[in-house]
Amino acid sequence: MAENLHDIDNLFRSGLEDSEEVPSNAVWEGVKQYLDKQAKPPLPGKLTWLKRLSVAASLIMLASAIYFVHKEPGVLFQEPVAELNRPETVRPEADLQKNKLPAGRLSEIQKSAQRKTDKVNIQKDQNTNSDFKPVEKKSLLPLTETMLRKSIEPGIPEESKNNPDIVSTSINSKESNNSRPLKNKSVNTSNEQEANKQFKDNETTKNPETEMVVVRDKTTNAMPGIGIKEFEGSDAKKIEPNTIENSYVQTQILESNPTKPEWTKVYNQKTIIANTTNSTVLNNSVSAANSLKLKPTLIPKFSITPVATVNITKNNIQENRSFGGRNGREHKEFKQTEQNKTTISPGLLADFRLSPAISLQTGISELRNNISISTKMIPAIRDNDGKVRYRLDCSAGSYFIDPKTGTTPQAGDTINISASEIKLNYASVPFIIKFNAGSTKLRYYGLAGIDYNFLTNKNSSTVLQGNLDEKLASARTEGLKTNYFNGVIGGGIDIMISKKIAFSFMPQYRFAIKSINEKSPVNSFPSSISFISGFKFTL
Amino acid sequence: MDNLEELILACIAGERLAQNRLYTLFAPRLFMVCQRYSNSRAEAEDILQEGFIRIFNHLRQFSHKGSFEGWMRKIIVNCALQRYNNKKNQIQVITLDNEFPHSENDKATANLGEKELLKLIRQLPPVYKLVFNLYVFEGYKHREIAEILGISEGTSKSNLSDARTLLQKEIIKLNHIQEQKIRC
Repeated sequence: MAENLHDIDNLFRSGLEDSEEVPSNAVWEGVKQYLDKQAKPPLPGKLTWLKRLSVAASLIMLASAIYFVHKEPGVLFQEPVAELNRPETVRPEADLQKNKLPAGRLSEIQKSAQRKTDKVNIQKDQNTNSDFKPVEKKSLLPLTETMLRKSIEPGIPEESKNNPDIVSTSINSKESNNSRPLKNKSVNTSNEQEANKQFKDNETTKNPETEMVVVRDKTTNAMPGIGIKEFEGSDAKKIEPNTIENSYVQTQILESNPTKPEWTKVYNQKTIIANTTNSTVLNNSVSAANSLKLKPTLIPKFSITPVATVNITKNNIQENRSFGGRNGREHKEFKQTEQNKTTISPGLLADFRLSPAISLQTGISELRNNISISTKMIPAIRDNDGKVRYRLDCSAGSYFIDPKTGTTPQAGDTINISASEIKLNYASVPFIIKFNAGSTKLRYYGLAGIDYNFLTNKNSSTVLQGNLDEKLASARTEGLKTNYFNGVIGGGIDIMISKKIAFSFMPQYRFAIKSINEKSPVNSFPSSISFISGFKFTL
Repeated sequence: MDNLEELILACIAGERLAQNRLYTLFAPRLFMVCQRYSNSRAEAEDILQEGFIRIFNHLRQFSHKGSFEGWMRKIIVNCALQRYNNKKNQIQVITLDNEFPHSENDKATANLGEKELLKLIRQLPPVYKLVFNLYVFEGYKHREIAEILGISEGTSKSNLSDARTLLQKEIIKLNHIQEQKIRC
């Protein structure tokens, strides 16, 4: 009997093993139709972590490069410049030693000074930068005087303006062995006499010559918005020769108005490094003053931007090996059956100036992720409540569905859906650093940061096959995280429409740092190209 | 083999002509595999279509080390098994006492050609059919079949034995009819 049975195996094997039959043409047509659909140009290849990191790093480097290129003039305003602008003087070694200026540092300073001189000459010759208009000599002279008058602490009587002691009353001495300036150090009136005495006692300045005054921003110790001022004419009267050496004047200076590049208003207290000892040289500095250029501050302190965002989203679906599932079949199936829709969402962004060129952007905006699912068969499964429901698995979790009509499903039953749409709404809070450059009329910037997204709403709408009129909402959802982080890189431009309003456009690439779902056979990483636009109001 | 490799590469590149050529080359043979796992020609065509879509989608994963036909066949069998899993709840339990539903046409064909053999397999209860196909044609062991179908090894053995018994009975019956015809 057993032999006969095994004969049956052979009978069938030999009878059917090599047999062939041509299927109908409809089969190839079906395959072809599917292949044609697939042949549509896909979105740019899946970005792996390495690719994402390289893109982020490149953009940050680009943004930094733009920032530092625009920062370049400030390099010239570094503290040692005052020391360096002594063209005719070679300081004796002993003097250097006394002032603790290392020889290497001196050479570095000299190079920097040379760069500055070159730059000034170019500016003089070409004078092409329309954004930073040079201050005319006419207006500069009285302004320079004003500036020096303002160098007196507020409350100094008017009659003392031309008094040679004025400067010395606002001088804070530098300790002889300290090579760095005493930045932002306020002058105590009680110590001024003592300070003066210290300077007068200092016999090292036998050959006074330097006239340069370097102004630096007190808050940032940087230079944008601040220019070089030089003593001249009547100013020289205020600075007695042979009395001041490497001294620091605590003063108030004038800052340029961003929209009107002139010294127009008193800003706040700044530090002036004054190294002035010779009135003759001071008088020669008038021509250099002509080269003074003011760089207005680029970005406002605070601004808000109501925005609209167009998001082109794509879910990168990866197999969750630690979960198990159907040997990775789900993620392939999801890729085939799911499609993301383009969405538009509103938001309100706020920009805070951190430094003249760097700002922080935060606020709140809506982030939508709409997933469209095509025809598929879904099984009935017992959920955590013990109820048997049809379960629609997708890259954004599992959605349990109760059909309104028909018999109650039993575990293992299946049903065909003709379409389903999953809508996920997140509130997104960005923390983005912007590196600004450009002019007062057109600003451009690179940006990088993160978004914190928390789920505010989720719903699904499913249509069963053969019952197209009935849209079923999910009765229960599983496997979706309530929050996740996005990385953000991008750029943007602000076009000034008026003094206070600018049109802002920011294309960004956002990518999920972690999966949006959990306890699921797949990990889903939404990434989107966002086009954000709105009107920026400076407050 | 060189030609086949070129054909595969062209298919990967998305050349529709090459894909059509590959389909034409292998579809008839693979269609017979589908027929053995299905209850009807239409169902077999569905399996074949789904199988070929998978084949074209995963062509890059073929390592060019083993038999290409074997690799494709495995995909087709997996498609059939998936279909079985989806329909699991609809499968009726059939015992050995069940008789094949015969048509007049069956009685007319007494010589056991391809079509008759195929019909006999199709008429087996779904689980028996799967076990029989996997064991006899695909060469799986009972342990592997048990794993694939989610049944015990013993059940697999028992199902195979039942399938053989059913087929044998039916063959005997068909032979008897044929003999009677000849006598008449």
